[in-house]
Amino acid sequence: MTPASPRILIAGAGWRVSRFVVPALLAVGVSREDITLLRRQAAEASGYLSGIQTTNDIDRIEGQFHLTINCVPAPLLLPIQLRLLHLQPSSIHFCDTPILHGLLDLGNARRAVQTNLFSLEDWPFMPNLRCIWPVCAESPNRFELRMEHFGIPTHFLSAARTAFDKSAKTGRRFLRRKGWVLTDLKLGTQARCVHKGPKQEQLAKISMYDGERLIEDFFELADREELPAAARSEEVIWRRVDGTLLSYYKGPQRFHSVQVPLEVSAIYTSSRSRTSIHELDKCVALIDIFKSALEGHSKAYGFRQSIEDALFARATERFRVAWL
Amino acid sequence: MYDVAIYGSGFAGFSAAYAALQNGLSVIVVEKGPRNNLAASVKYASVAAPWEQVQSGGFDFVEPELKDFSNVPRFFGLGGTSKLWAGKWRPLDAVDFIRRSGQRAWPFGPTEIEPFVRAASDLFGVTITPRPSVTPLLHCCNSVGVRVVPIRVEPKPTRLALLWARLESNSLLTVVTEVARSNFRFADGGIVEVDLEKSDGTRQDVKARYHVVAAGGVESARLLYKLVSNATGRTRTYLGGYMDHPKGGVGHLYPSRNLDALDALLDSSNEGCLLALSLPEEELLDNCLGNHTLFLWGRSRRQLGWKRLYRRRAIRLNVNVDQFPEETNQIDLSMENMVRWRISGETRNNVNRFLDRILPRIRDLWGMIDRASWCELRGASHPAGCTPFAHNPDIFQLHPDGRIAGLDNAFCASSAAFPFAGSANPTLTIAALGYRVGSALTRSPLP
Repeated sequence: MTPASPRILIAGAGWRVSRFVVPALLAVGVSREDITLLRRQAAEASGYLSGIQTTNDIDRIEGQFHLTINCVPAPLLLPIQLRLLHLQPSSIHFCDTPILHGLLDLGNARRAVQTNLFSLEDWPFMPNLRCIWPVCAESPNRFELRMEHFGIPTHFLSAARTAFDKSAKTGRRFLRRKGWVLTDLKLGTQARCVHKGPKQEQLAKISMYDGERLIEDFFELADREELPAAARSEEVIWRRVDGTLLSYYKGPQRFHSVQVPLEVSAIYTSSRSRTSIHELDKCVALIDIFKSALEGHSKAYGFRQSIEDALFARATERFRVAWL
Repeated sequence: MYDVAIYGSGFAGFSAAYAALQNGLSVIVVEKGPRNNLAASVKYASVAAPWEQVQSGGFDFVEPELKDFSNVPRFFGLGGTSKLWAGKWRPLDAVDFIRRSGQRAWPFGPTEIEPFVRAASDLFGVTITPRPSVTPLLHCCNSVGVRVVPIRVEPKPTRLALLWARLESNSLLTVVTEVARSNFRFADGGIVEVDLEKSDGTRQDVKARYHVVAAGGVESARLLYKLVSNATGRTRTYLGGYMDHPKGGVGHLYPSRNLDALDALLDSSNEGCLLALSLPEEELLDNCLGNHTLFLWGRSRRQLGWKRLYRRRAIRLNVNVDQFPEETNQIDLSMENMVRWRISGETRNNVNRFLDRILPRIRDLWGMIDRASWCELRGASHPAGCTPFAHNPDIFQLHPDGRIAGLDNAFCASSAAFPFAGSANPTLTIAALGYRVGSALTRSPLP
């Protein structure tokens, strides 16, 4: 049950907040008046954040918040998170994936881990991956999940972890980086997740192959009237936006639907670029995460796992291989 | 009034024009692209292929900014796609003509096309004969059930623009370039006149007894569909069955035995004859496998020189895929320059089954193979198959002689007419189709 007017504290007012976090909160019914922004400047926020009250002093924040969402720049992320955990002990906290530069960062990150702290990692909850997870479960030993030409390895590692978790196989993982290709192998099986760079919008795609079945997502979006070519192929994921209803299809079959206010979907659908559609998927994932948190049964990605991902992304950058 | 109007100036168009001129017919060649403007050609020719990466290999573009021409599975300009062609000559194999699926099948066998393949070979001076030095290799491969496929590789690929310039010395030939639009007028079940609108705004009316569409795998299909829909009033939003020859790496071979035979194979490409490997044709048919070919890329011991003393030799294994026609791979007729094509799970499974069979034999021949878990395939700019020789009344019917049903004086000579794409690099078959149509045209009425 969502509280009538939940109080939300957002630390940071950057691109991620204005493009993802606030739109996702608005989509779950939170109004701008319910949100407080903690940012460096005291000036009122502008653009998409206008109308949201702002403060620049963490100690002057009064009362308890239902949610705190931490998206400040990397060097401040963990200190701010520790303060928020101290000041708001009964809130549900969300924190961006940290970037670990040294042992101090790792120590701070470990200290922050609590049962009411979750990661803001949205990839495991992207709706387009919902039809991929069952394949992982059905072919736990031989699936290959490929994320090509996306940017950040920690996003990929969170999705890979979810894929391996869905395949219900326990065991260690072995990460190997060769040039632009980061491979996450589940030891003892032939299952693997592959992240291929560099970031290149026109070539970005997600695919899953288990030796027999192939599923591919080229980030296609259709209007109410259109019947896209993807609808003719049972292997291709595509989306249809019909007013406020956003539906996800694999070929002719719809596998997921979600209500997204026009104000929010318009941010992403004005351009049909793969990046925009991918951002729409990320926003829908955040809607799912925030909704479950406000209803009291948070199903977000664990912060501890997020730290591990950050640690091993760093390790493969430096040493090319890592054990998980 | 011309005897023949040919649309397109690639290998099929050139062969058709040559054969028609040999018959003493007057020929007009209509080309959408310019004579000598590569930048304009690329601009015209680019096709949005939003699903898969398409990359061609044999371009000789001078301008550095034109080096990256991904998503150009065709080319406009005098000489057509020969401008971005790598110079690999090969006819389709017998198995490609025998294969059938549903309504798709070649309407004639390899023996019927053979004289035209020979004529096209003579026209372009192509001989596909491996050197005697590879005889031990052939024996070696035969003994383990591997078929060796010879492909002629020109050190300097034929660029048709030069050949057209020579052919234009024949007074019976007229070449018109930069034709932005062709408006056809029909009467009595045929084309009577074409209004050509050039990109500079000038217009020219052309009357011809015969019309030959030879504009490559994408543009021929669009033009054929335009002709048929104008003549019959049928409308569609797409043409399915688009095929390509996707290619990509499948792993590495670390050779340890039969090294002389392997070196003969690797050296042969420098001697003008590239040798690819495949399975015996009967085995392909019996197991419903495409006519995929495996290429070995690496240096022979001679090429490595003294480095072979300390360097472990790894030979790259690449596969060229014979993609079967699928309705979901299509030219989008509702949008200009849009091809929706992808490599389906079925194609991947077929390739995997082929590799499951051939790689153990290669391993037995030469040594250890490290097979990649995922074959990274990308398009090879070999568009084919959207308007095939087949009885399909919903779209149109292409008769075995290349004539378009319902249009008595219109013919097609293009890879668009391929019912199956077959083995990669079938340039000789494309040229042979053009030669076949061109040589069948005479001053006396056709039967």
